[in-house]
Amino acid sequence: MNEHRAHTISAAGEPRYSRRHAIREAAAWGASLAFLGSRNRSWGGESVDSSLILRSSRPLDLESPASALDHWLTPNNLFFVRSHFGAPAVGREPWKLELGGMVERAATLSLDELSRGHEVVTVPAVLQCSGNGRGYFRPRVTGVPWERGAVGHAEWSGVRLADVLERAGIKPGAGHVHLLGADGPPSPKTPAFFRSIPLTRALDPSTILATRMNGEPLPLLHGGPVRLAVPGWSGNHWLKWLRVITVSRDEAPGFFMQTGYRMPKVPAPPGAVLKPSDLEPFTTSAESPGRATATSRRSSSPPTATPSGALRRCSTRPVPGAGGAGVSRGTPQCRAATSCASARPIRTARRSPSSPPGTRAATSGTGSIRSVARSFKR
Amino acid sequence: MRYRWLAWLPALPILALATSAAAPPAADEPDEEERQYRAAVARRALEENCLICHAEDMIKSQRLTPAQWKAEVEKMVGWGAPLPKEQQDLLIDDLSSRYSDKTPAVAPAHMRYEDALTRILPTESDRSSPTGDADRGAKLYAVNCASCHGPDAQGAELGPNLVEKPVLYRPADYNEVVRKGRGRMPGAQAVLMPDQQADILAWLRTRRYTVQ
Repeated sequence: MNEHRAHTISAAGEPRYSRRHAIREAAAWGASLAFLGSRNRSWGGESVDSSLILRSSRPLDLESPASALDHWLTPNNLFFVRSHFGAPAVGREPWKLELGGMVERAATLSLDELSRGHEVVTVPAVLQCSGNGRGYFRPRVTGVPWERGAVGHAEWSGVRLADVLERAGIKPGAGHVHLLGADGPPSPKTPAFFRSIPLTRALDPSTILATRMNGEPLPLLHGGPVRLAVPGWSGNHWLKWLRVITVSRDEAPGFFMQTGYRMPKVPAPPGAVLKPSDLEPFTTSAESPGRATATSRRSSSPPTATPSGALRRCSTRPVPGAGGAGVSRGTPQCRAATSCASARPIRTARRSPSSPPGTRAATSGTGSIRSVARSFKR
Repeated sequence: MRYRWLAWLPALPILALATSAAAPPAADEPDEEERQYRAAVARRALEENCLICHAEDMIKSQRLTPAQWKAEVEKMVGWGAPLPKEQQDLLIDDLSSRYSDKTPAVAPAHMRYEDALTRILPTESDRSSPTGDADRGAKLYAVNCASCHGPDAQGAELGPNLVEKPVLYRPADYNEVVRKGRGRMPGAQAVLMPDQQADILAWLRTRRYTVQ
């Protein structure tokens, strides 16, 4: 009850933290330890969860525990995992990426050929499932009942999609880039997870073919060996196990582009069934008020503290065409995350400084209450 | 005197009880045996259809109204779940009562990333050479497997897509399913020799997922 007061910053900037508060908090932690049972939380120091929340074991959906969001970068093995049809078999032979459609020079590229001659860039960006928070909806909606942790922040490295497309030569009239992964659906009646992004977004310098995550080769369950990273846009655009890139005139056909991941143009109650003409892909005009998650009440700083390092390192330029309006409307901590995601890629791969001590806020610029409200329309 | 019949009033509840016990259950209220039968059919419908693609944990975590369960089951049937029409209502009723929007939430399990990965990683080394013959496997597949899994192994009416699935690089798991069967799939222990199973595996590994 008084924890809040215990964390108040004094005028000198030092947290007031009396022995009385310490004892009270220790008692509270004792109680929560007993309550949490099997969950791993170390005594007295950082709260540590070494495992993810299991939402579905087949296809695999794992949610980050809130404690994993404490830091500037979410560790790869605590980063949420979302798959529609489960990971494909990967690694038995060299990965091939097909590039075709409305390009002058179609090609099948190995990962080496993909990066040859192109600059490898690193982009720190929030990745959030568009359904994050769905579990809190009342009335209930169908789908993975994510609570807080279908979100994470990582440094994504790879070549710019724009560089690859420009080398292939984009033909006039092209408007969209279709994306298909190696994870085939279980039945011919099940729609493939076939998606597209507008060409303007594909040519944005922050959109990359990510082959590394937080400095490691992109892990299999996160879409390795290669996935698309579309900083500022929700996870459904970040296509995993990317196999085929096709430049086209129109949006990709099929359920997951034309019906799923669409939002009502004007807010509608949960469960409302709307005409296709009343829906739109939710990136193009979505206002993103952002979201903040308090991950620990033990913080020595206010739980909504903005990582100062983040603000220093990132520009505040919104992603073109990414519903940038939300960027300026967000709360400061949301601005930090959103603008990081949209910042011009850092030219050479480098590690970011670790999170400043006491930073306990995990934020997201891509998700919004509005987007979650609509994401039940898978 | 006019109110002497009132003396019988205390007996009314007893009378009511006696008649209700004697009366047969209403048509829309199945008796215990009927309930058990329905639950068993629904259970089997779930195991043989939903669990082809889903683990049960996802289904158990849903908290939906009957209308929502109906929409979900119909969506899945549209997406290829081979649920027989006569079992649909039973399954929808069962799911609606078991996992309704009034059912209390159950705390989810936890899983380490490494453990999730271990379940799908290849169990053989990159260098181990394939033991089967893919050409022979193609013919064996066409005869023994294609009727359910489709001629291109990307799934059909009853059997799911097998192309590029991690199980193809986990020979022990693959052999277990082929020998013993799973769900509606009959075990092929008496039909396929171990070297024939290896031939089919070799052919399946040559397949690449394509959009039709």
